[in-house]
Amino acid sequence: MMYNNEHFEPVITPNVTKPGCETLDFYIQNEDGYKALEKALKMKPNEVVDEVKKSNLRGRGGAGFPTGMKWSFMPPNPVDANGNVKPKYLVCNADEGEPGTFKDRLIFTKTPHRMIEGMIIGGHAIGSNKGFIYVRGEWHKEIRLMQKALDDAYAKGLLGKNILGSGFNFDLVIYKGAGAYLCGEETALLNSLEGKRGEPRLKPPFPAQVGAYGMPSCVNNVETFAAVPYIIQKGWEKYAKMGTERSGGTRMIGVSGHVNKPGVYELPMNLSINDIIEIAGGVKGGKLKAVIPGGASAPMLRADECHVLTDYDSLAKAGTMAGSGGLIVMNDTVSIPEATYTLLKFYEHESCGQCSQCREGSHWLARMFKRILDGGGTQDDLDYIAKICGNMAGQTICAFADAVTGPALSSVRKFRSEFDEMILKGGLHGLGRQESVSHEMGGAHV
Amino acid sequence: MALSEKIKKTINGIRHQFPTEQALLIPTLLEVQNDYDWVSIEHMKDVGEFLNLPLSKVREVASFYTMFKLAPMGKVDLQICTNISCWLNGADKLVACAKKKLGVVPGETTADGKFTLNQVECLAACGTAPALMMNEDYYENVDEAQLLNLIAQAQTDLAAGKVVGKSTRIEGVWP
Amino acid sequence: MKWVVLMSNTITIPAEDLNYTSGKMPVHSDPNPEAKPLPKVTIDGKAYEFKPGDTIMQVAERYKLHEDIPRYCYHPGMPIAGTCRMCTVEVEKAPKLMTSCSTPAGDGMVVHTRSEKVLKSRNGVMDFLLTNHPLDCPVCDKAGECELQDYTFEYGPQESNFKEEKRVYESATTKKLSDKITLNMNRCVHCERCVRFTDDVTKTNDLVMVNRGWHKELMVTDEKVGLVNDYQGCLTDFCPVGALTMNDFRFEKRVWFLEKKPSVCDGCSKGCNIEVHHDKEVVQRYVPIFNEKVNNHWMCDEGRLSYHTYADANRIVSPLLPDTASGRLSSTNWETAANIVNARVKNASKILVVVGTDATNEEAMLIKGHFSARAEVKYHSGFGENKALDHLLRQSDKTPNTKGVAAIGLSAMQASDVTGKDLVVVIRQGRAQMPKVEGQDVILVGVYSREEIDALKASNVRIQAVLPSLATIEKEGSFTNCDGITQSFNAAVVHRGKALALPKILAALVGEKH
Repeated sequence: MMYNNEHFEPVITPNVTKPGCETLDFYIQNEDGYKALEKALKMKPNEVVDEVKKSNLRGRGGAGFPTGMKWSFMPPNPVDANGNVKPKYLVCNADEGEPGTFKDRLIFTKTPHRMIEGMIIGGHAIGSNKGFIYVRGEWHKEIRLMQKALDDAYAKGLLGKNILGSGFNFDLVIYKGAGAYLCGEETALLNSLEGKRGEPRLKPPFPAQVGAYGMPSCVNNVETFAAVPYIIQKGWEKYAKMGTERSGGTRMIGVSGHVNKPGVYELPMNLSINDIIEIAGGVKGGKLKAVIPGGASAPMLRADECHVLTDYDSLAKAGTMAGSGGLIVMNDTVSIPEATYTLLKFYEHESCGQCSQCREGSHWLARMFKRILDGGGTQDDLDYIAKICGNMAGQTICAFADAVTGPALSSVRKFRSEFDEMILKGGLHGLGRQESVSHEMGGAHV
Repeated sequence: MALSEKIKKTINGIRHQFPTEQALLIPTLLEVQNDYDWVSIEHMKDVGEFLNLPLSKVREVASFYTMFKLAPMGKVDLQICTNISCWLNGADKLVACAKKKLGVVPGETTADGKFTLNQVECLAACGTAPALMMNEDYYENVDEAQLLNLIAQAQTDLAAGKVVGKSTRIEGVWP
Repeated sequence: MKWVVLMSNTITIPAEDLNYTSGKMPVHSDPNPEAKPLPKVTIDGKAYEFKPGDTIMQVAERYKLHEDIPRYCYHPGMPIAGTCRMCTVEVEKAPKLMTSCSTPAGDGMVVHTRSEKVLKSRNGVMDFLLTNHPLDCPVCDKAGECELQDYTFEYGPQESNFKEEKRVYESATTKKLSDKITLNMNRCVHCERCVRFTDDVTKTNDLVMVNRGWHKELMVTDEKVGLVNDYQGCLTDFCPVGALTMNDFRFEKRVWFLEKKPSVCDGCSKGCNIEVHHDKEVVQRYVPIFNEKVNNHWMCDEGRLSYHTYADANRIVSPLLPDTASGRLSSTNWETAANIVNARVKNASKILVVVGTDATNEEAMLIKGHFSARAEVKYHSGFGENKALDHLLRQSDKTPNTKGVAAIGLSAMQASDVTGKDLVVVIRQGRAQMPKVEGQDVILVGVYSREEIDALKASNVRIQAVLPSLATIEKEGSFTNCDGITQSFNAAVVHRGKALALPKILAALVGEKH
């Protein structure tokens, strides 16, 4: 049953367990590395965009926006008010940090050239000569590995001037972040790339008009770029066929939490959550209780809902989302209110604080959940959580406020009886559970 | 006081990569953080002067990102992830263990100025939870015994005058 | 450019300007009927023409609909932030509510500013903003003109379910940012108008919002330097809550007792448009009012605090005559004073009249008319050639009407003008410097303080009489500012002393007995 998709083959991770897989030599010798680039450079940019469009590749960062369409938004020949040609920038979003998500780190450390090749092809497709790789600052080792990969690519003439004799120039630069989850939001990332606070921007204008340094820019996720060489090399049809009607290819799913074999798995999309848990060695330490299917922001699912398929549309229909592909498994020893508080504490810490609802609301929710854990909760609180979430979702500049409401709302809706019991018995203590030491709140960042 | 020549040299080396000087702000602050273990207002003034930015622009950025510490820190910043996947896999025990061993609560620095204990949000190492960072280095699938070993090793290395937790760093080379 | 001078409300605008925030209806002159018709946006069921590029908020402001759209972070004089989320409106066909401050109006766009969805959203924002606000209105100077109060009344929930501990900024509950401004961070709603003002308007970058999220805190950028900009009072004008308050006004008056009258600031040659706030004719403060052509939304601190000159306890507010025996000046009644000065002027053969450049255009004309036949009339500012002190408003000429006084054909007083005169009449109203009249017989007309009189006596000036006249805010008239814009004003307060309007004093000086 497991790989019942006859068209499936790993697109990104066929060799990631092999020694030396991260090197340029390995990539060229064993994975037809940079062959797709050679092919793409012989195609017209719009042909490359069309190929990606037809492949049904959707953004792997969380929002699932069709990549080809995003590329096609880039203006062909942008000029400024004085008629000077504006540069266009391609940006790779490697600010991975959504709790439960760790797939991009695997690509960075095991197959960096696939991503680099994808970026060069992307640069050709949108007519950009410069790309930035925005990486979260905590990845010191990963950044240096990526820099090594870039240096090797430059040395081989795969980056820089006149790539492979095509006349196309493309430079790639790494930019280190400095610790802000919100920089994974593409316009916050652009602000950060400019040396500003990582606060999302008002849209319009969209990055395709005014992006990095005021220039038209296109931001894609690491996994998205890493899928591009395959599409160009093997053709859009093969890639599209692997997926569903509205979403091509494979997905990198990071399975974590209470499973026996946590890790990143590249999988077809027609698997159910139960299938994936089985692939990841099954639930450990108890019976399945709940799953967060797409990173911390995705609403939780109960064990009895885990037959749902993991493609974008099926998960959306089930009231949650595919998000960033981080699947967090919780067994029946977990207190759902406590797990939710762990997530809300994160959101409270990471809200940038621009928008009123998010700044105050994410704090309010975290405090309220803490009070419930401490035994001070009331039934009214539970009703009010829904109201707070209703006042947050869809009301702010970016989707962060919506993300906060994902775990908050779904936990209360789906595990109401657990909250009721906790309130009735006086919190974690009343239930005979020990409170986590990590639950103390951090103060202001001083 | 002015920004050290070492930092200026590193940053001048990447200046050509970015269209604006302001873009160099985060890299410069990261270098300051690395060299001094924290970023003081005086450092911020130096950085502003170096990049032709008003202090307010430097200060709002330095206080926004969590990797910049605005108060003096220990030589070793021990950051334990306590977000969901790590929490599900025993991060709590690690925090309790570190608290007991170091005699400080998260956010505090040991009296000898060697260790600062912190809880940190997701490090994107959920598949190898629980994870922690010692300065720049990640340690994954850590249990209490390993944590105690790590602390002991760091203490030995510090006593020997070695740099701790920066195993992949080459000073003066960006990134 | 044709200037329209509007009496009494002080705003001078060019006829063709769509001066959208001045509280006036736009002027629709259509010089070219062939031109393409302007696009139209429908707001709450009515179609409005707009200039391409306008945001929904700007259209609403042009047509005075802005009362329907509440806002915290938006301010027409600053860049758009779009963060408070209070000004959201429903735009048909848009999936989410849109912030009217940042969303450009589109031709055929249909906007609802008070739909159920919009009101629910605003109610939500208020619920959040109130969670951490201390609700200390009884001891807050902003009470009565607070946007948090007003919008809570209009949009907010009447009760809160917030049961957690409120955020308290221990060190910033009453924090003096400078000798002019006090910060109460607990009241802040994080709209960041103040930071954008110091970044983009004054360009002094002396305020900064540090930290992120719920911990964001307003700080002076460099504590060692402090708040340094010259427009600090503006911070309190646009701070929507009582976070930033002016020390000069703190705990002075509840705002609902204030009467508000428009006037023009006479603190320099810029002529910022102001509102004089007074209670029972006692001035409590000046605040700027919008005039795109003069001061935009702002005024400097020096001008803002200049009302103290007129409210000063040492201001001479009744006529003074020297005692014949001791020479000491003592107050008298106007009849006695008039008789004496009238005779003194009649008996003088060589008179110099010095008009301060703080006289109104009308007063200067009148002085010229009264004296030019029998005296030399010169003007004096004491500040030399005017120059701008910064990119905003401040001017080096601290008198309001140098351009106007010069324009009626008077010339500037030279030091040699006093030689050979047997009487000098100085007409000067608190802003122009004292001309050098050492050793002369001088009649002083205008606004003077006791200190100024003492200083004159010390420099051997023989004061024949002091005849107090009304200050700018106490009279009507017009000034021509440094850019040549003439602005008229009416009296904002009633003078509470015995000073008289200048025409009456002039009549006493040179008129026939009446």
